[in-house]
Amino acid sequence: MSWLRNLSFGILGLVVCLNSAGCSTTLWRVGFVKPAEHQDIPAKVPFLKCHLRSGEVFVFSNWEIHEDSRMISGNGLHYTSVRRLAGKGTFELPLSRVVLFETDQPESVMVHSQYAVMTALSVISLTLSAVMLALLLG
Amino acid sequence: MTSACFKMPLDRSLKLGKPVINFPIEKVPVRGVKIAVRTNRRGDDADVEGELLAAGDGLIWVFQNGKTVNVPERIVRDVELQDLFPSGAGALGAWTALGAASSVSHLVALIVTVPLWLAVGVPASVSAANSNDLTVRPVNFKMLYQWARYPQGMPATSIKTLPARAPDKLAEKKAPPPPAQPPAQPLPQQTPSVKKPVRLPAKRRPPTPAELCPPLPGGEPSCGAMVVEGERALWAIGRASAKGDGAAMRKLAAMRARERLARMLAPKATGKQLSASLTGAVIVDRWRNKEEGAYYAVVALPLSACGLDDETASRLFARYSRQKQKGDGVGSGGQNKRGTNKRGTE
Repeated sequence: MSWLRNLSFGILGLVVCLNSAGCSTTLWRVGFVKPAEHQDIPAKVPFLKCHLRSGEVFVFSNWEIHEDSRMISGNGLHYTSVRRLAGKGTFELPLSRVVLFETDQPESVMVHSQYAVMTALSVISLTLSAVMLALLLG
Repeated sequence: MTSACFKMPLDRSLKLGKPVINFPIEKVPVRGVKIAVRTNRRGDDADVEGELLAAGDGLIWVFQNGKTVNVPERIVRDVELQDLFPSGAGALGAWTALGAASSVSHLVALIVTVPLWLAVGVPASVSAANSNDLTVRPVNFKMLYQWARYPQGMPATSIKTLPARAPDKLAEKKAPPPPAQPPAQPLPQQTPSVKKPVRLPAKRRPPTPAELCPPLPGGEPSCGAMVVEGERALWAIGRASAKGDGAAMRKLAAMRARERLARMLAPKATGKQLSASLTGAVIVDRWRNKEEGAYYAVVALPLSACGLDDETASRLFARYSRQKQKGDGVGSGGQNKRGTNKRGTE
């Protein structure tokens, strides 16, 4: 009966893998900072969006704020107001053009507890199938 | 089971889970979430669905079917933020079906296991389908901006429609004066209706000389009149700055110059009339500005070539001549005001 035990563990492992892959998703933790309070921008967030009055937005993955020249520079993407990609690379823009900073942190979240119940049910069902198969084969 | 579902919080600053590292920047969302705005209106157009553009100042801006529409907050019953994350309802449904089908291998026990699969799987799928939406009540509308494409507010350049007229004010104007005595039966409560945003009709008028000949990036005029060897001529510069091969850009610059010249001659003309007026026009100069990355072409049209008489030609020259300095006045405005300007020649 060792093959039956191995099969059961294999199926169980597969179900657990599918379960963990299926029920976690990436959601965004977002914060907003006014330009006058740009010192409050957390240093550890991976992305910073600079919203301009015109509706354009710059998404920076690393950035630096130059207090003396009142500029912000960084690497990232530039989108137009209709969110068409306008450029990619290093950008520098005056702080006066920015009307709102947005910090974006992707976070992995387990969103579906239903998957856990379905996994438990699957394990019971597969075990029952294996027992029936073993009884049939003697 | 269903009550343990993850529910997205309305406040986006709250911690949700474990931080993800090395996330590709291209996948950072830059659009607003999909929303459904349910209003107090009756009828098919009661709801507005689309991307949330902005929220604030009493209006909710939605990008619906290629149009920007706004809905006054005070007539909105609630707003549903939709598809905040993959629901997984389809996968759960398929899982349920597969599990129920595989119960065949349970032999006699399938009498118990098939109903068990259905009893667990169907509610799980239904709850998953509903778990990725979030309903926002009017008291929380001030939080909606966090989910918008423009959290800073609607940019002025993107506003293509006028704000809807206040429906209650409209109703007040049309409502009959209140009766002296209260009626025996209470009046049915009127549901405020929303007028569709009014789109201003585009005004069709010929361009003014200033619009037709805007100054070039260097401040130079882009068209005018000149006399070359005693020959009167109108000229115009065309500019092409799009990326492309040189020959195509030179052609485009010349085409724009010709178009501008044709408009100078006949501001109200359209289509074939425009091209017909350019017989005899020649390209007199071409160059490329490497700093701007732009191509230029100058097209001139001797007035004798287009058969204009002296009077018409002088009028054209007057329209496009730039001899007047700032502060010199604009011409006959004062005469018109005083009533001393006479029309026609009697």
